[in-house]
Amino acid sequence: MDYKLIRDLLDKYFQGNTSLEEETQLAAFFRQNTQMPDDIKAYAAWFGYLREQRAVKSSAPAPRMVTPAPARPFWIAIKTISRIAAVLLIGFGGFRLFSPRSQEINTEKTAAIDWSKYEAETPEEAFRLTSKALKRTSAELNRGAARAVEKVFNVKEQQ
Amino acid sequence: MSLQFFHTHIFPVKDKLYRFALRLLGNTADAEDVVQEVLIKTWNQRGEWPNIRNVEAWCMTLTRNLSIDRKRLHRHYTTEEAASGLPDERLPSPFQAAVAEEYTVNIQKALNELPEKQKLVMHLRDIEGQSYQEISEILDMPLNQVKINLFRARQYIRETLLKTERYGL
Repeated sequence: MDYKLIRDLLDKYFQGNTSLEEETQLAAFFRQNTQMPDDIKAYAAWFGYLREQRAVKSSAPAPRMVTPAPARPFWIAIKTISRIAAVLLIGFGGFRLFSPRSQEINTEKTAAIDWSKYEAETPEEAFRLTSKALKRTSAELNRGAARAVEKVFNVKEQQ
Repeated sequence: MSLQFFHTHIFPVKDKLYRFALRLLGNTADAEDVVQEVLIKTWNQRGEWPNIRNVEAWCMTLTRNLSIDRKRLHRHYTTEEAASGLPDERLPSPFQAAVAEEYTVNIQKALNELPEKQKLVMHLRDIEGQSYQEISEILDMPLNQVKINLFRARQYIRETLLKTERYGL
């Protein structure tokens, strides 16, 4: 064992001139050796103290926000998927039931009537049909007005 | 990506941060709290990580600042308690079994007598193995002051060890 090297390193160390590598070398020497000259042994306590301090550890766990979430059990995943599927099914069913179906039915009925049978074939016939429709409308309106007047007289008589 | 970096580069430094906080505060519970706070703050500032040259030194600086803030808040600690540094009751000591108890007592006493700056510089160098440049950054201290403080601290420890050897004081 080259104690001269260790003595030189110790002098350098206490002068504050050692590199980190040299300090590691000194620490390793005192860790590995128990038998040494008395003048060197005086420093063993110091390097033992440093070694002991380096072993001190924190018991702090990683903060919660940086801890990955634990994997969810399979049955919980299935349960969640089932719930989502049920909601989608109900929503889709409701949509199909209430919104566009009635329009489809009307379209089908309309398509079933052959309107070409009712179309006028000559201008005279068109004139006749239109006059007839207007007369019927006029008669209905007059009848409505007469009934309204009659009701008004009845109310006046009762007063 | 951030999570992986945190777990590989930052979380493993927590023991260093803890020892440093413990040296500054002299109280295990407060030191643990500071470590948690540092980890949370570091995570919350993950957007800044690419701009930080040395994340470990940055965490140590944050530990120092938070410890100083906490120390100001809890002035009820006596100087003696705060200066006592790492308490004795934490780990069983193989060291104490190997060497005479008076050495340990005298080393603790000598460390407690050191000025705060010398104590911190010595801790960062001799226990945490930081470079002079890193110590300078962490403690916000000029490089030459780091070297002077380390030199004085080591000289004082050497005198104590030699006195103990000669006189058992």
